[in-house]
Amino acid sequence: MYIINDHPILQFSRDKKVTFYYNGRPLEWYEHDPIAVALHANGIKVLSYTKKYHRPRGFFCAIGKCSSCFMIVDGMPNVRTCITPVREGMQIQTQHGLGKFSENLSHVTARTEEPLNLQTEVLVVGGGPAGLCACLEALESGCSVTLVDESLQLGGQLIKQTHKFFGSSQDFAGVRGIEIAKILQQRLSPHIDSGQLKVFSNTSAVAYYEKENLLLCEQSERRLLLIRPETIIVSTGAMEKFVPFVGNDLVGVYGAGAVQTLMNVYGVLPGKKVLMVGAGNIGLIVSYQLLQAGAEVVAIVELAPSVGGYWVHAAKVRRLNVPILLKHTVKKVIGEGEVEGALIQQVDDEGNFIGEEKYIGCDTVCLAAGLSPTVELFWQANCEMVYVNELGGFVPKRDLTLRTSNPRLWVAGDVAGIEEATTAMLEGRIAGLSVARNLGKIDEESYRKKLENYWDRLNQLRMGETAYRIRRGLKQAFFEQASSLVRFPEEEIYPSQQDEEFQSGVLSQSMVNIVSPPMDLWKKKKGGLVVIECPQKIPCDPCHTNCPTGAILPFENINDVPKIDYSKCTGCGLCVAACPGLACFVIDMSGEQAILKLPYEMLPRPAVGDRVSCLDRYGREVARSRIVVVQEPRKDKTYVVHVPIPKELAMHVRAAKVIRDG
Amino acid sequence: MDEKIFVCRCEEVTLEEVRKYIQMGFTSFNELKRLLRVGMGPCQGRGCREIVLREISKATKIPISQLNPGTFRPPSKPLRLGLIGPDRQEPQLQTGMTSDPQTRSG
Ligand code: SF4
Ligand code: SF4
Ligand code: FES
Repeated sequence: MYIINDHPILQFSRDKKVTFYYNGRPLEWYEHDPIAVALHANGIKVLSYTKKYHRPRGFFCAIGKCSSCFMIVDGMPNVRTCITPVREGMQIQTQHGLGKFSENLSHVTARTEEPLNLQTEVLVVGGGPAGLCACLEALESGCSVTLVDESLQLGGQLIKQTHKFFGSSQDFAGVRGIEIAKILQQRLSPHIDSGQLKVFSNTSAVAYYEKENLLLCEQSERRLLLIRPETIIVSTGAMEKFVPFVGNDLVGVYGAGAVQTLMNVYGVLPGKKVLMVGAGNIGLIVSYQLLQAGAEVVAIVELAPSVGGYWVHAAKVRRLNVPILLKHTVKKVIGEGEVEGALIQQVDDEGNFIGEEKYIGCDTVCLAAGLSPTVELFWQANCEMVYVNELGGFVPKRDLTLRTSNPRLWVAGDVAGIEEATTAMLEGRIAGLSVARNLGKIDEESYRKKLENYWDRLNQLRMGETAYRIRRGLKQAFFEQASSLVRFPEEEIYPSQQDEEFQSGVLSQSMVNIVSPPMDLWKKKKGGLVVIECPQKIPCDPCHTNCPTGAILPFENINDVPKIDYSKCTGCGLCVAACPGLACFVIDMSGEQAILKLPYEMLPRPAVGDRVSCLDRYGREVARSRIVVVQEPRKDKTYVVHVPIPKELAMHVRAAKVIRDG
Repeated sequence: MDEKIFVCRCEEVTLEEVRKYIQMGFTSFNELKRLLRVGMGPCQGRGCREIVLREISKATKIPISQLNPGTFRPPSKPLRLGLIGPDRQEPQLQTGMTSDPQTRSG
């Protein structure tokens, strides 16, 4: 019932089924997937009961960080089932409290494998976007590198990002996160073959001993790694923030990242009806992904008076009929053990509840209220730390090469401050470069050149209007204040203040006129003209780089809003398919009816002749029509569907939904 | 259903308890950790630390940036004893405390 068999973007590799035993009952699922996933796919969400109040528990983070998913596996209690793969014949039991060892203690005390002693020039902890790029950079400069990563698959959070990335085209803009993970791994693989890179996956770094310069890791509960590195790059990422409200520990209250892992890596839905808490980029993106996976998002609640993520992401979910309730929060999640619904309420500027409580029926509550950097290793290594709210919490102070106050440790990625994967990759590059220079692997001139280049790109990505918080945060995180390398806008750019509609992802009426092409040209142009609804300064340019005629003008600054030379637009729709924000549309006004060319990334897959419901910017059905053409211009699974509608609706309809039944 | 708001999932510490102890004058994370066990569970405070610090900050009017976030001791993850213990020995109880009969007699 929770299994995703068809998905508009993803395919799930499910080759070999295994039989395992859950409290003695035989169940089946696919080999290599984590135990918690296998259970969820079989409808089992409760993994344990707590020691004090005997409350049922499900998983929360699904990336091995929160320890909510403990179960007894083959007699061993406290096994993190979210990162332990299921195997044929495995005995899995619900854990009560601390759990009991089985009678036979031998497998608890017996060491299955001898500890591994290891020396390395560079140790990278965490194989997400930052860590993988740090490895690449260090390897390319000739360092020998060891990578430890907690997950079963490398790539960190990239392996669950089905959306196309923003940023500039030289940094993977327009490419889906899952593809970026593959590309990075491909680039690493020759180094693995040559022995220059050693990778230990499913391996957690658990302790750093400064005096001994020893990093202790454990792999798959099987063996201990004692690593003595010359330099360490810590890119351990972050974990979803836990939010205090009544019922916040019920089974079905999951971190947004956990929901992504479950549905996008393993093809299992967390539930059918989801309430999303938080309208930052993660909340918005995961909401869209839930819709793609076939779940319903009943609402997104956001404490702030505007969405925190990119406006285009908000518009994307709004037009698919997901309400975004600003200045709202969850008061209470209701259910007997598992989530059945939630009470939400409005809050005023001081955070007091006002107005009436509203009940929302849902079986899953997804927390996307921010991330906390996973910084324990820095504390253990006595690094100078600073609390920066804008960066997600405590982070290590660093210099311009991302070196911390402990000369052996560097930092990169979300653990340095919560940002985007694109910036994480560049930070990884910088840390890798600096480490290589430190080991004397690279000459001063090329080091300087590269460093400047990476900083230029990083500065660019951080010049947008939603990045103002990041900029404010970063000012507190560096040892040096001003520097030629880090650039901030001369005058701070803040998100544009618009009306309430706009803040929740619907284009204001006044802006609709601005984005409309000139009417005299529009009426004549067969094939139509582009309409771009992308009013925010964000770092993104695939609309320009994918336009074959130059109709979308070159960006001076990657954060510019697109400018259009309508005389050059042919209405080809390539930008419609390429735009990560799904903010480009083509409208042909030359005939009797308007023909809309809309991006389409949902199920069912569209076909010519399909009936569609035409939705406006709020997701309300304003017309019905049929698809007359289906294009897949970029062969990357974003279709462009052509739908005729009455001309007066041309500037209202922004999405089409295929209706298959009746 | 009860009205518990959990701050620490691992050790099941509620917001009410944290607030009560802060009122009683325990305004550092380490004190609350010893008294309530916040942050002593297997996640080592990854979920609760910030919520607790925010509460302390609210009550004492000291910004979080100036609060001590408590001690971080290794290991940061649960470790299987068999991995660090001596090789193939029968499990022995040895607490090292002075009340431990073995230590005292020795
Ligand atoms: S429709 Fe084609 S020509 Fe027009 S702006 Fe888009 S990509 Fe360029
Ligand atoms: S319209 Fe251009 S700048 Fe805006 S989101 Fe789409 S590709 Fe990016
Ligand atoms: S550690 Fe498994 S759910 Fe968080």
